[in-house]
Amino acid sequence: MSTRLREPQDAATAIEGKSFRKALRSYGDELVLALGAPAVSPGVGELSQYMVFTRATPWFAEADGQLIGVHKQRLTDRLLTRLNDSLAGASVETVHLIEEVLGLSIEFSNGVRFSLWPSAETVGARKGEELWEISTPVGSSVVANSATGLDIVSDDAPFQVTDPDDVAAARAEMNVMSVIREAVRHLGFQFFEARRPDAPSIVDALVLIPTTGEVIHIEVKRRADHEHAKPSGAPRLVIYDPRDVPLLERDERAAVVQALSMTDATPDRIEEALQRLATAA
Amino acid sequence: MARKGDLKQVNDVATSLGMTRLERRLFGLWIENMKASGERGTKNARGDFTFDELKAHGQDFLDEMRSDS
Repeated sequence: MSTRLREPQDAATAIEGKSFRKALRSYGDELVLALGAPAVSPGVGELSQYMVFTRATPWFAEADGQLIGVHKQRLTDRLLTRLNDSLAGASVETVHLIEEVLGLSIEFSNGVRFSLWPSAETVGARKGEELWEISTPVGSSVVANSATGLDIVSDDAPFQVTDPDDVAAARAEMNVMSVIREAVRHLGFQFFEARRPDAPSIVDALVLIPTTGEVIHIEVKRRADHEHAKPSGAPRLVIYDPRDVPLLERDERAAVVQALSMTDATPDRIEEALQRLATAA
Repeated sequence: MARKGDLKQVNDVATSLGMTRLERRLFGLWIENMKASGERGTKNARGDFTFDELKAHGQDFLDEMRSDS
């Protein structure tokens, strides 16, 4: 994964674990997917914390090789209903940004895959055009632009979310990996991020202490992961969702564990926790 | 796949009215809600809006948004 892609990918993974709420039509027959907890917007009513705006980019949805829906000039009620029915009750399992074509692939828990695939002539166009966007409740969006590629763009204002704790948690979740990466670099340790940090309950990253050869496991726990938690016996830094309590009682086999709430995962505290683990390892 | 021409028109209206990024996104949903509740534009038989109609609605939208917030 290139450096250029890493931050948008990290930010986009914030929608993993979020439940599908509804597919909507925006003016001009643009498809919009609403994900996550309800959020209220003045003048528009109930939306969601996370919104995927498809703009004019071709999309398709399929499951087990069966096409559920594909973009058409008109986003009909029938097509919207089919999408809503096929995604009802599902949540996002994984999200992948496809850098080469500025694409986006979202896999849902019920096996449905939703893909945005910009046309070849659009990508790399000199004139910048937004191809799609994932807006978040934390004041930033992941945007694919035909001229400038994938990027994180600051928003003027987030949606008004119904639960302020969710905002803090989402912000922390988006940033935590980059904060950890920076802390590891500062300590002179080496950082290895999982190529697929999407699979639940596995180690999200490894930190290697060059002087001793010891390894620390990094786990960023999202709510959906808890049921699948399989603690390892290695020293671990666990970053957990502040809306939950960390299930550390399951970690009897763990040699050493340092746990931080996502909202407490500041660079200083992460460094401190890593140093403690390095000493104990 | 949305119609590029219509999206461009909404973008142009958003720019001319000084909408923020968030307001632009919400405006698209708001105007679609209006259509669904029966408001029709004169651009074509589908009831789409001309630039001037969109601009007038855009101002209403901003007034509503900013008075609520």
